[in-house]
Amino acid sequence: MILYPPQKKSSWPRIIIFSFFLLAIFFNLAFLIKPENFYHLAFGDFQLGSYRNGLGIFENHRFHNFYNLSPYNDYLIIDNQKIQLWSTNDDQAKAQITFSPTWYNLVTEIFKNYFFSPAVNYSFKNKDIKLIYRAEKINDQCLLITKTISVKNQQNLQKISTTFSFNDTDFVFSPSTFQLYSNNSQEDLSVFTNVYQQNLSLSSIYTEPVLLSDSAIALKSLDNSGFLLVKIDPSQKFMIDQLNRLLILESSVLSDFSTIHFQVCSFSNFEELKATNL
Amino acid sequence: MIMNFFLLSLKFFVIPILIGRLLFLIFTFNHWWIELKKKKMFFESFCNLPWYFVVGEMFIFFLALFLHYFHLVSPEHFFLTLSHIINLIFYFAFFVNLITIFFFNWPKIKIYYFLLFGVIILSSILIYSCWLVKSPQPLNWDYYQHQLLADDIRLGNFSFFINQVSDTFGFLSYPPSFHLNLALAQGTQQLNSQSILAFWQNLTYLHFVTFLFAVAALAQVVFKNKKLTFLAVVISSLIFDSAVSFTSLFFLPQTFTAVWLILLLASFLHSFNLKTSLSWWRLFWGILFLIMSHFIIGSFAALFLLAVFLYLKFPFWQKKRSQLFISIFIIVLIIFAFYFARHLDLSFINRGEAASYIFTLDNVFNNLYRFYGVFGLIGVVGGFFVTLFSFFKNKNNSSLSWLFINVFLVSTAVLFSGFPYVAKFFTIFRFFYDLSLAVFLFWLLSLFKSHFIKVTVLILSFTTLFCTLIANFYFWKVDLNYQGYWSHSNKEDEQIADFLWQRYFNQPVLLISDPATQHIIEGLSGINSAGGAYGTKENRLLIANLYRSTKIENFLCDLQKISDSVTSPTTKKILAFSGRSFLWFESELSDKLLFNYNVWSPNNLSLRNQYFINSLKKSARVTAIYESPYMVILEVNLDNLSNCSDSVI
Repeated sequence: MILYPPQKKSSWPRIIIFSFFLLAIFFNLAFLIKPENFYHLAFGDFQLGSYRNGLGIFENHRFHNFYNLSPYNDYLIIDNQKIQLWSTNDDQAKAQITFSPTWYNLVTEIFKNYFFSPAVNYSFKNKDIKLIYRAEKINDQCLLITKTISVKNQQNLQKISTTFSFNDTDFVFSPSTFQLYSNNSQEDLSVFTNVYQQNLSLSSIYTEPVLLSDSAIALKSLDNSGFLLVKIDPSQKFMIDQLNRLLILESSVLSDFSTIHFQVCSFSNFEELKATNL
Repeated sequence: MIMNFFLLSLKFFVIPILIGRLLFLIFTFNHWWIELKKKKMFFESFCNLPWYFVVGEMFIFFLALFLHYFHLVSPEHFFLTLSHIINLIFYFAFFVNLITIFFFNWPKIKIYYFLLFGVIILSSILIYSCWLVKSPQPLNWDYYQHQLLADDIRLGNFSFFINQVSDTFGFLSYPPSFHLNLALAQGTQQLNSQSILAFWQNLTYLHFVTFLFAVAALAQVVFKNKKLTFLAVVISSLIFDSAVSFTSLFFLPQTFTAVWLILLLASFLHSFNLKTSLSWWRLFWGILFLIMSHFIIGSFAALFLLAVFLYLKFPFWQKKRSQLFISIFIIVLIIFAFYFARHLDLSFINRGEAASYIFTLDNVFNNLYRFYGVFGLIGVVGGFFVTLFSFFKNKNNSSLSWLFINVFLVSTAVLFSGFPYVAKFFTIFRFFYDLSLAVFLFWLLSLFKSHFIKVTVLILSFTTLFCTLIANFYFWKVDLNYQGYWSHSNKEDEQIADFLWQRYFNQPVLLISDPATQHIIEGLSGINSAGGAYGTKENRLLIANLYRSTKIENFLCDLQKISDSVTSPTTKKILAFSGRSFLWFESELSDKLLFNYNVWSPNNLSLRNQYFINSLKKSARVTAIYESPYMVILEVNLDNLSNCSDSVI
């Protein structure tokens, strides 16, 4: 078969066709098909994604049971006063929130996510505060979460608090002493004991957040398969807020530019968690 | 190790080809000596390969039917006997082929074919490697059921009617010719699950290579242009039809049928180009082979082959008036089909599995957009118009370009018609779509004299199609996430399958779990399950009910009622519970009754799930035989179970 190119000598038809070709290529790359679950960083049984309210940790197919790292709950201690990062009174429209996927460079994002496991970012900025969360993989089971915060009157900043929300029926406990910090029903506790053959020492009921002495805290949901372990370094302290179901990581500010790190790991079974050298 | 499985999967193609060639030599005895002395061109020899395969596979299949239905061997010895006979013929065929090919009939190969072969191998390795990223297990959901049937044949459970072999096959979509070939390639010993996976990965790669050969052959015979053939191969490797048809990267009876149809078609078109006579015998074997490979796709393919054969065989149809008549007839038929599909009540055929394959115009367009992207779709349509324009402009108009135009029109009309099941036919149509895109790109390149612009157009086109392909891969795989991998199953499924095979092989037990787990474990272990992924409504309701049972007595009674419609009832049931099972239990009842609803990726057991299992373990009839955070397997003995009322569901 003979395929005919246009026979006219003028180069204009060719220029027009080439321009249309470039346009088609541009539209193709700009409107590539996008999967819904784009920015999920897998670690163990869990995945981490970035959303409008912050970072969310959940298990595949069990989306109703999630853990949040959100500026909505986070706060700062400035001049001995607790300042919410994102209060309900804030004009939310004025806050600049960037969460993955940004779609700035769709092709690069698709390639990075398909072939590798890139870090997941979340940033929040209002008139006084700029906050960035970055979660990256250390190994198949653990993530390193870096929180960077800059505040207008940085010199008076004393403490940064990072909150880790947990669910109604979750067990929050020390993996070394098995001291329970959450307020669980007796029935749920018997389920835990039945399955793992491990008693958890009951905690008191606290109406205010209380300071904990552990450097790692485990979280286990009745409806998830994995255990989550949050590990902090010695410059940080854990607090538990039973009322609001928050695990709080409090860090003292040592420099002008404040960056804190902590690890979140996933364990498929209780034996693995107990064997962790804490 | 990899080489071993590569050779094993190669046997799927090599055994029928060599036996088929031997049969050709025997049955064309009068001509064979002349044939052998004739110096053949490579492409001519290549075009004969599909016929060798067709005849070889049909010979094996009919030999198996003969042995089985004439009761010449007992079922226990069926496969071993067949395997020995085929091996004997194979070794003899190998020897005869070796002598005739190397000493008499070695074809003359031009450098162009070496280059084409190189491009096919390079493209296939690159794209297949990208497909395997983060997916160590094959992503072909159906391969578990095909492996199961191959295992059943190995055990002597052979029948033309596959729905009489296993209740996994609810209806007769194809006879087991494909599966017989699989079993013969794998040998007389059942492979362990890791070997099965390796075998299928290699076989899928070989299928992908065969697919690219089919594209090259079709492009070569229709357009007779070397550059266009290269373009068609690269373009086809960069397109994946990731919904319903799955032509290039899934090895299934439907995709296998489509690829071999194109190879047979290319062979007829090549004979036509050489002005040699088209054989009615070949047509007969071709039609038989296609229908035996897949009843629905194969029948359509057979009709297609027949239509093309008649067009090529009789010069009357190639006259301008006849061509005009056929084109008008096709257009009227298309209008009628569109009217028929939209204004008549088709609910009587839109049921069961077919209901899952009804696509609106929107769905079809979205799928094509996903496969080809904006540029690709423009190219497909553009290529059609370039061919049309060339057909009218060219005074010595080609019969094959007319054929291509009409096939493209019919394909598009059928695809958009709205009839159930037609989306599956895209496995055939996509060859013509890919070719149309190649024509467009060829035309685009021929517009420009500057080499710089030509190279720019080529690089931009291939890069764009590659990006579309990766986005398509990612879109398709991302929801199958399990611990950072994208897969339907995991390593532990393989271990569990081997464990169950060692413990229960050939014993009367019934595996019970959610449909996806049944499908995977049954496929890898060969242990019989309650219908795999295609269990009956009754079984699905009973399995769903297990989780709702508040009393162990009710649980055991429900369990007793779950049965396999093909094999005899058993009192020993194997319960396999993973997180996936409980997620299925907790889903909507209407979803649980659907064949196309599954929890597609593995999931570990939650604390609540483990507690439920612990409560079952308290019964004296229940023994835990395997326990891990992923899955617990319970053996339940239902001997002498009484006091079961019928009103449990």
